[in-house]
Amino acid sequence: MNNHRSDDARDESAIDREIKAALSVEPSPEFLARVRTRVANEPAPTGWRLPWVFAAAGAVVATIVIAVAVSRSGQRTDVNSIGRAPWSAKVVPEVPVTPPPAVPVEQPRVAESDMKPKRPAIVVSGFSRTEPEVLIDPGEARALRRLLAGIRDRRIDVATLPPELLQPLAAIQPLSAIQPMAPIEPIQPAAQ
Amino acid sequence: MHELAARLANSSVGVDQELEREFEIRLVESSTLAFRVAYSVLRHREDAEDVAQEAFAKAFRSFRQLRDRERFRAWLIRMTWRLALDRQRAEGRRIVREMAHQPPAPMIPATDEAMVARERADRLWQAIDRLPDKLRIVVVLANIEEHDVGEVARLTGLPPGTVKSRLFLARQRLREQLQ
Repeated sequence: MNNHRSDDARDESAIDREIKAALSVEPSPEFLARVRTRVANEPAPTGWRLPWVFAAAGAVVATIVIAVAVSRSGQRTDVNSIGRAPWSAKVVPEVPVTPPPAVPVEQPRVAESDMKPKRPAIVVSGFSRTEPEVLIDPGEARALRRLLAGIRDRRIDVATLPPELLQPLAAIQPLSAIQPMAPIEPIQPAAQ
Repeated sequence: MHELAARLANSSVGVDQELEREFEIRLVESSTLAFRVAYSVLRHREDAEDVAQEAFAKAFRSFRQLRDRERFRAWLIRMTWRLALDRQRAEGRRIVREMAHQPPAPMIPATDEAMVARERADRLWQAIDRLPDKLRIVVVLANIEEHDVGEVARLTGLPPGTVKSRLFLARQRLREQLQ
């Protein structure tokens, strides 16, 4: 067993010696000079020149871009109300600007999809809708109108109505209290 | 502004000169290694020099990323090995083409001793050529410049344990083929 191992080791060292001898070849004396000439003809090593300069410049540019983006996103919320000039009015097919009715019973606002298309009105684009739009089902609105008209005309006896229905109606003002809105004339464009 | 530009230009020139100096040091200390690696594949002096030269030219182009000595040598060895294999395959195809059109060369008389040595060397190289690439590079590197297992591991980027087992396998196969 030991003899077998020592034979293997001897073979290995003999093989290694042979390989070493076979590889102990020296390049020609001109080899280095030829490599130098070849390298001298090569373009300069690629890569970043002065990488720290570019890194610093990149950091500055990134900071500026982020600062501008942040400041703009802050302004964007105010653009609708103050960002536009008053003369930037434009014609848009929309409902005329009117304040919401004091009594929603008489002229309930219905979903925009149910409204008839109206004449394009001039609105100031800087207008901001601060109040939430109240959406009432058209059928419900009609029924409510009929009920109120019936009470007014004394066709419906209030006493027969359930009390929980009458409770909210008590707060409704009479219709005569509502002043009709004066029609809003479209703004004529200024003469050139 | 002009001063800043001039200073930047001067510092750039300084960096270039420093790089060239460093490359010269690497060239001197690694040229024989690259040549021998190429020679182990090609066994032709001029071809091996050409391949090593090409590898140095490529190394110079990427020298900014290869300034570390160990990294440079490892990269150079792998590049030289790949280029030599490519050259060997291309030469093999060319030789096969040429031999198909040329008559055999006349035999040159040689002494018995020289003939035996030459036969032995041919058998050794044939055995080395028959090894898989991953075993061949390990056994070649281990027999150049007395590299130990750690150095071969650094040059090949392999773990030392893998180098050791591949070296063992390579020697075993060589022994089998040469007996």
